[in-house]
Amino acid sequence: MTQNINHAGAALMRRPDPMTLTVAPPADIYETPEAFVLAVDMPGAAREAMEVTIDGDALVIRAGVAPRHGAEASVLAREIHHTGYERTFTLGEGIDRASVDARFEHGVLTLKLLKSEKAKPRTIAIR
Amino acid sequence: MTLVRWNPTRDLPGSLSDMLGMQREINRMFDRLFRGDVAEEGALEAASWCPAVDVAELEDRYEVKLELPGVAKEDVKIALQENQLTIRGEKKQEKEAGGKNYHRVERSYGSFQRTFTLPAHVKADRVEASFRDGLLTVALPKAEESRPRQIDVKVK
Repeated sequence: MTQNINHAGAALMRRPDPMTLTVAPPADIYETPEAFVLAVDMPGAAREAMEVTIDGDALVIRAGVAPRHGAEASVLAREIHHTGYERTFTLGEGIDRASVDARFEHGVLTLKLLKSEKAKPRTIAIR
Repeated sequence: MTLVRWNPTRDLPGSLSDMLGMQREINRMFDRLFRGDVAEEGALEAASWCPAVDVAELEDRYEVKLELPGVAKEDVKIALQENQLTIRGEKKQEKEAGGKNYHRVERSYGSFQRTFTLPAHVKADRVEASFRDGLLTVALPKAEESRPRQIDVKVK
């Protein structure tokens, strides 16, 4: 049952904003010893219309979607409605804003946000 | 797409064993409410997530597009039986070396399956699929007899 509620939740997230036709793409966030990694599902996003900006604490991801059907196609069933992706994340103190690595592969945008020096785990040698 | 007449009494719960029927009904209601789409009955029970699909018709072919971000093409199976197309597969959670501490998991993982009945027969041996930026496109050329034909009628 929980799974089915999740389905409904996923479908709800997929429903684009009626004004802009953009959706907030689902994201996974995980932490490694040296970085935070964001993996965002953005199938069909156009690489050339994709931007990742950091303004203060706000990390904003925006992307447009290439047209899925040509003008000559008549769509028989449509579940994919959005024409773009947009989502904002808030960055914590421990992230080095200057070194962000972005990669887009198989419809997944992966951002690697390195931890700032003081946020990295340190081992203290015992004398 | 096939239309199935809705029978409101079919899935009414009579006992606990009918709970599944009720759950299916709720699933259908959610689907209709949030997507207004064509999710096939039974597909949700076998699958752990349900990728979104567009089906388009062109003059010479049908095009089915599925959103499958992060799915490896080796993990997708496409099968055609007469005019029934089934796309199934699995999205695996990538396992990297080193400790991963998850803060948030919103993306869907696991197996999926979608089945469609196409309105006409297609050339099974000419079906092609391409996978680009997480969008799978399956092109199914129409069989000759189902393509529109122009017939000249002489008026006497």
